[in-house]
Amino acid sequence: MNFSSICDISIINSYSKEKEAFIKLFSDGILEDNKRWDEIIYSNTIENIDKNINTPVKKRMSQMSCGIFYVMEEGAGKNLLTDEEIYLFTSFGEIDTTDKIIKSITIDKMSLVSPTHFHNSVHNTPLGYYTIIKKLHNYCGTISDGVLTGISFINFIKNRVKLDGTFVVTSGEEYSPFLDMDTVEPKKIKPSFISYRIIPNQDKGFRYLGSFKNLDEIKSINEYKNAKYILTDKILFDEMYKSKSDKIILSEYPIVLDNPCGVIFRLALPFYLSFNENSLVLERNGINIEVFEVKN
Amino acid sequence: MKRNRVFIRDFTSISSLGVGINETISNLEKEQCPIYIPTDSEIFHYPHFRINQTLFDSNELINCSKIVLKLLEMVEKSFVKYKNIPIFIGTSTGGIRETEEVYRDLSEKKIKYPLFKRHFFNKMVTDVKSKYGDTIGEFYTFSTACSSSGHSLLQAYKFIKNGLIDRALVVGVDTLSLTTMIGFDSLKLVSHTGTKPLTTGRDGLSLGEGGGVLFLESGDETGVDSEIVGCHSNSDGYHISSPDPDGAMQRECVEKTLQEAGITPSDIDYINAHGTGTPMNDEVEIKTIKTFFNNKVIVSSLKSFIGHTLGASTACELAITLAMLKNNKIYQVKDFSDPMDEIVLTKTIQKDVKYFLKNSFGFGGNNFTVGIKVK
Repeated sequence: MNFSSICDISIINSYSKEKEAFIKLFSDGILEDNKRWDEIIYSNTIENIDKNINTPVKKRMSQMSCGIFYVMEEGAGKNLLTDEEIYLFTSFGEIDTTDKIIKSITIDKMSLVSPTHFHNSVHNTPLGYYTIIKKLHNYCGTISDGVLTGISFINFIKNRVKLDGTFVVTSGEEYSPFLDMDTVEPKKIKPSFISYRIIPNQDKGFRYLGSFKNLDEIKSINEYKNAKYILTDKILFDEMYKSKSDKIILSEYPIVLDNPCGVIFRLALPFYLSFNENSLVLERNGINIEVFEVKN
Repeated sequence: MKRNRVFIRDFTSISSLGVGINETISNLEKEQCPIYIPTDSEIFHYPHFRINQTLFDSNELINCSKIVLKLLEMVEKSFVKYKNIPIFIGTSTGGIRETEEVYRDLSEKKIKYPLFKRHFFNKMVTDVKSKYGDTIGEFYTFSTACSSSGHSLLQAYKFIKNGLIDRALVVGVDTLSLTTMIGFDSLKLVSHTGTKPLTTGRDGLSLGEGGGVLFLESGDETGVDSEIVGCHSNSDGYHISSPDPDGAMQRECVEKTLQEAGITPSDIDYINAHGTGTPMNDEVEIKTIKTFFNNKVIVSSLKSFIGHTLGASTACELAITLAMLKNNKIYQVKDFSDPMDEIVLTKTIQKDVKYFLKNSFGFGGNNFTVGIKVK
């Protein structure tokens, strides 16, 4: 019973809001072929992202807030319990709103800024709007460690699943011109959002295996031998291929691009794509590699 | 599931009252409000609370990292002997001031700046791990506006209480920025004359900067002065920047904290309020408190002394509260007048406190309460 299952998954990005489209990315082999990752054209916004918000408040909401609302409505929010905790993991939060504020102040030299922009600029704004529109009182926490948020997620999840009770994870990033200003280590960030429910104490599902020194060490464990799929970040994807693995190697990169929270999507993919065989989910953490097993 | 007790082994703060507990208590004894009144030429236009600016002397680190590292240095005798201590940071804006300073050059492509490394909250984590190596293990930065370090405390408390970890560092930090100064002013929440929390004349908040650190441990209570006995957080589900005037979920927050602690309102001697000094916040908070405690509790806000340190406020104010209660005193500024209710503390008093509560409320209706037992 030391596994946790993932259900009520919703994923959207600027490529699609439909599950069938993401399943097709898998069945067409795009998730396992990095030469085809540039085939998909992404835009900076997701059209009709506010379509399931039936209140005038939506006019005030950013892509970030609308995106989280969308995946909560289509995913984990559907069966939300009153005492279920909701955790938002986001690397950059309401970055486009923050960008507009800083621009107003430093470039336009404004002595006041849009009040809406200001109260929309905090990291927990998406969950604030979600609870306000849905009139909910659930615990809502937001964890944000910039480019390290994926590691924070792993740290958090491996502990939280040992506690009682189901809980909800949601994650996402919006596009902002702000994110293009880093010319030292540029990243391709386009909007992508996800939500799901985690049910601890299950016979099957995912479990954290530990932090490994290298791929050879991972390849020596039984869970690797028993796995059909290896799901990795973009960098490990190349390393896995070079190491001549006999497994099917996949990455969520075509869905989330350089979103630092990619592992949050990656961990859900074996459930979302209804894999019948076992998988390993890998994430580079400095010199180590964090590993989850997903058993079906 | 294992149920451990959660002790506060060590703590300290950095605020306008000083760097560290001794300087803080020494300045509290003076009962003076250390608010800074800027001149017309300064970039922060309205009265605010500054920390000792020598802490920001030149080096590569962002100011939030400088505060966090100084806080850790002041309590490191308690934790450096251990390995892999999880750190739970709370911040609302950490690092945004530095981005404001380079933004124009950055947008005009005059400079190359590692935005992903320096603007976001990973910067603080990286700086802490760089100094302390494997003494620091897992990290989490909670950002829920003004309740940020409350969430850090809540999660650390839950993990220790349930036996997932043995100890944790909880840190709250925030610095002054134009974004928050102008932003809060745009919401008409900044006092242009200086904050007066929990008074009838309150007209807004004054921003502060600084931080607090709490080193939490389970196990041996020898030499420990305080224990976390309950903690709760929920959502108003009401408005993005105003509290629900009814205060229903703030009441639930207090109620669930008392329940978890196994105590009743009559056990609470003191409440360290969120007390921002804005008309609405203080009105709802006092109304909430009075539904439980009638007139038999003492309430004060440390924001009279340090301003609103935003995401740092829970950890910073808790550390200062623990220090003053260790001194068997609850301090108030000397010129405090016109309390908005009779439960509000009007002058410094000698007081033995056994249990107290600390409230924090953030944008989006994000509520937090913690109950502390003082030995």
